[in-house]
Order: sequence, then C-alpha cells, then structure tokens
Amino acid sequence: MNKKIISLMLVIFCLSAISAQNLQDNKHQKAGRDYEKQAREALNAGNYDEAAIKANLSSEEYRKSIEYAETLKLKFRAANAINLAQRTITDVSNVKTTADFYAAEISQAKTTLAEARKLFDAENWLESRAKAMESLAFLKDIRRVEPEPKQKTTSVSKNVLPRFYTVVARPTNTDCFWNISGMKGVFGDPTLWENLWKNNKDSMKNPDNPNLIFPGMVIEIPSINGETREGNLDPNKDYSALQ
Amino acid sequence: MKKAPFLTLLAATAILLVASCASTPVEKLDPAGDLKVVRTAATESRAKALEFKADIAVPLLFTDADSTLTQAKKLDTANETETALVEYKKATSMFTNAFNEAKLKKDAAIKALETTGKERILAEETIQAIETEQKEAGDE
Repeated sequence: MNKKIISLMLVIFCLSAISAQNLQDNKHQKAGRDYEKQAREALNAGNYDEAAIKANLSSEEYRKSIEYAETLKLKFRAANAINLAQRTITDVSNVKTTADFYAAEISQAKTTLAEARKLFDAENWLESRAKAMESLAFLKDIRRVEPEPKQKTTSVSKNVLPRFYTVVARPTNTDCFWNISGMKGVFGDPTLWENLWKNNKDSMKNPDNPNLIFPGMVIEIPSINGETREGNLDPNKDYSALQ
Repeated sequence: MKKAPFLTLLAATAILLVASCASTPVEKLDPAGDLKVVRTAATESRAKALEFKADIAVPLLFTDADSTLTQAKKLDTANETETALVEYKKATSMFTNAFNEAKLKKDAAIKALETTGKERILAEETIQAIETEQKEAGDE
C-alpha cells in the first residue's frame, strides 16, 4: 500500500489520543439487542410463540457476550502485565550503571517476558499474565545505581540523540508515531514513523495497531543511520538534525 | 271371588298413575331468552379472545371457534333454536379455550422477555466494568 496513504491515515487517526475497543457493540451484544427488539415486536403483534423464541435467542447472545467480554478481560490483563514488565525492563535498562549492576536480574526478566509473549500469542491469557508478573518479580528489588559523577563531560554531545521518548498527553497535536517521528531529537521526518512502530511492537498492547499508544508509554528510538542514541528526549534541548 | 281384589288393586294403581302424571308440572320453555343469553356469551367470549390476539396466537383454535359461531348464527337466523343454542354454547367454550391458550403463550413470552432483560443488564454491567478497568490501565 502506498506509504503516503498509510501516513495520511495515521495522521487522521492521531486526532484521537487513546482508542479503546467498544465492547458494548460486540457482535453478540448487538445480536442480543436485535433479537430482543424482534421479540418485543412479536409480542405486541400477538405472535407469542415467536416472541418467546426470539427472547430465548436474545438471552443466549447476551450470555455469549459476557463470555466474550470475560475472555477479552483476561487478554487485556495479560497485555497490560506484559506492557508493564517491558516498561520496567526498559526503565531499569535506561541507566547504564543500574543495568550493568543488575544484569542477571534483567536478563532473567527478559527471558521470562519472552515466555509470557509466547503464551500470549498462543492465547493462554492467564498463564501469560502470570509469566509477565513473574518477569516483574525479578526486577522488584532493583534500585537505581547512581552513575559516577561525570568529570569529563557535563552535557551530552550535541551529536548524541535521545534513545527514549515518553509519550505525553497533549490537548492538540497529540503524540502518535507520525508526530513523534517528526520531532527533531527523533528523526525529524514523520514519514519514518514505521521505524518507531516496528521497534516498539513488543511493548504495545496491540502490536498490529500503531495508533494504540498512550501517555506514559516509553518508546525506544532505534538508530537508523548509525547515530549514537542515549537517554531520554529532553523537550527543552535543541538537538542536531539526523544526518 | 279372588279376581275382585286383584282387579280393584289394578284399577287403583292405574288411577294413581294417571293422577301423578297429571299433577307433574310442565316445564315452561323460553328458547328466545336462552338464545339471547348464549348469543351474548358467545360474542363476549370472542371479543375477550381477540383482546389477547388469540386470532394470531392460536389461529387454528380461533378459526374453529369462529366457524362454529358462524354456524350458530346461521341456525339462529333460520330459527332452528335448539341447534343454535347448542352451537352458541359450543362456540363460547371454544373461544374460552382459545383465550386460555393465548394467555398461556403470552405469559410465557413475557416471562422470557423479562429474563432477557435481566441478561442484557448483566452483560452491559460486565462489559462496563471491563472497559473501566481497561481505561484505568491505559491511563497508568
């Protein structure tokens, strides 16, 4: 599909900050409402047998709707746990001294998180969440290890670009991959947004939907031209353009 | 000599029988009044059945009852009172039966719809709770 068309669609979708699946309109709930309406119409018309049949069909659909929603709830919880584990791993890995000090714990957490993702892909929601929580447990005792006081350099070289960006809520021009990609410290070019998406699929609730990012999410910015990247994007800093 | 008492007894019995028959009151028949009553009853029972939409709910029962009523009216018009009386009563009974059957079905349908309403509310509340949980998780 034309890259520009995809980019344009992403711009349109970026007008909404957070998108949540509308469960009240799931197919079973809709079917239940339709059958219920038909049942009432049949009752008013005197078709009592048909009314009873349609009412029973409606009840069945509502029960299926509950089952469907409960299944999705388990999926959401698993996805949220995975996301939380990933964010925590990213946060602790962000500080080099901390990451080096707790390398073993972080490695175990990553391995366990990978298992959690496999279980998620296999739709074992309960076990996936349990694994993600297990991954988090490896990190619970991690404390930030303060880096050595910097003597050689007090400021990051202008040529070093940020490695992470934390999504924020904005009243207008909301954060989305398109806008973030266009930021000067990132790529300075919104059309390169797919690099961000592909690099962060693992930490997304719905990796197939690039629109689903939300405030607080930490996005890892990949190095696409061999540039050095460290630390978080500072909105007050004037970064050099990506070469 | 022996015959006389027997014949006397026989005669007395005969007289007694005739007298008892003569004194039996003759029932007064009012076919016109009875006909009016049963005709009204049949019409009212039809109307009651229609109130419950028995013509749609139990069409065969209602149609049969209607046919019987039509027959009763024909006999009524033809002054065949006795037969009309019977047919009107039969029609009333059939309409009553149709009404009862329709009412049973309606009650069952209403009960089923009440259950559906409860299931819908439960489903909506369950979904709402899940959406709230998901939104709160997303806001973290």
